[in-house]
Amino acid sequence: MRGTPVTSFQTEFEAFVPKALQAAFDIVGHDDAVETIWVVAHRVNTYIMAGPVYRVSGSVAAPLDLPEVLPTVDIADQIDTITQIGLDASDLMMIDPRHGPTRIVVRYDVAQQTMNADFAYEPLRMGPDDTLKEVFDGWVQRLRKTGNDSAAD
Amino acid sequence: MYTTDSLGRIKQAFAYPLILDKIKRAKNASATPGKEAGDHAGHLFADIFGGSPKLDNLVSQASSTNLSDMKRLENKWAGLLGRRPPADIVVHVEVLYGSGDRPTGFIIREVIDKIPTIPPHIFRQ
Repeated sequence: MRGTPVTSFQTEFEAFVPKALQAAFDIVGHDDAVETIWVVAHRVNTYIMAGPVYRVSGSVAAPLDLPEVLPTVDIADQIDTITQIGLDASDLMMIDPRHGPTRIVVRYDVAQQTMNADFAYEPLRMGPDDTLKEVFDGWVQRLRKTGNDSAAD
Repeated sequence: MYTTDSLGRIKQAFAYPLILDKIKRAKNASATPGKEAGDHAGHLFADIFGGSPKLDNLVSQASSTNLSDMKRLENKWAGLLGRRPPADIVVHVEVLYGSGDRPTGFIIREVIDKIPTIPPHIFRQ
């Protein structure tokens, strides 16, 4: 992890992952149709957007898409949990805002119970008028179209 | 509209709806609580959106947060409000604190044309 105080980041990351994945799984009520959970965090300087993304019965779903694929999920009830994932991710990403990761992707395969993490350190590709919403949405669109869930642009 | 916590710190600010306001404003107050070297007296709602120049709308913000990162959101809102017809934008700012008076961050929730942005925007300082 280039330039990042490794011990602190690793310790905090290891605490972040199970908490974030548990929260993400709670949001969908541990539904059997959930195949994969990603927790994706983006950062530009001190600006962070982070939240869960899911594959449910073969379909990729960002939080707002969840009611389409899991009608029992009321996303309005889950705003605080989603926000807390973002706040925890922001704590992690602010450990070293100069040299730390600009994107973190945590992937959890529900059936296999396996976790992988990927980190990017290059500046995020953003248009001059883009906010991190466009970056987050772009990552989800790329996953949907290509299956590419890497942290790299 | 603004609310404060039990310590009198600005806790939340709302704009229902957000509007463009091109009226030239009075000089801003600058003595925001908890201000550190390099901080700005930053608006929770910029004056172009009708934000007050007084301390009910100003908090201590790192200059990078005030001038760079939040500017991305403000520019987006201004563009959407400048189109015809203008977008319907609702914004809720939650101010985060540690033990002091200087904010440690901001959670910005927006609803644009009835669609909420989830997850929310988070700024730390």
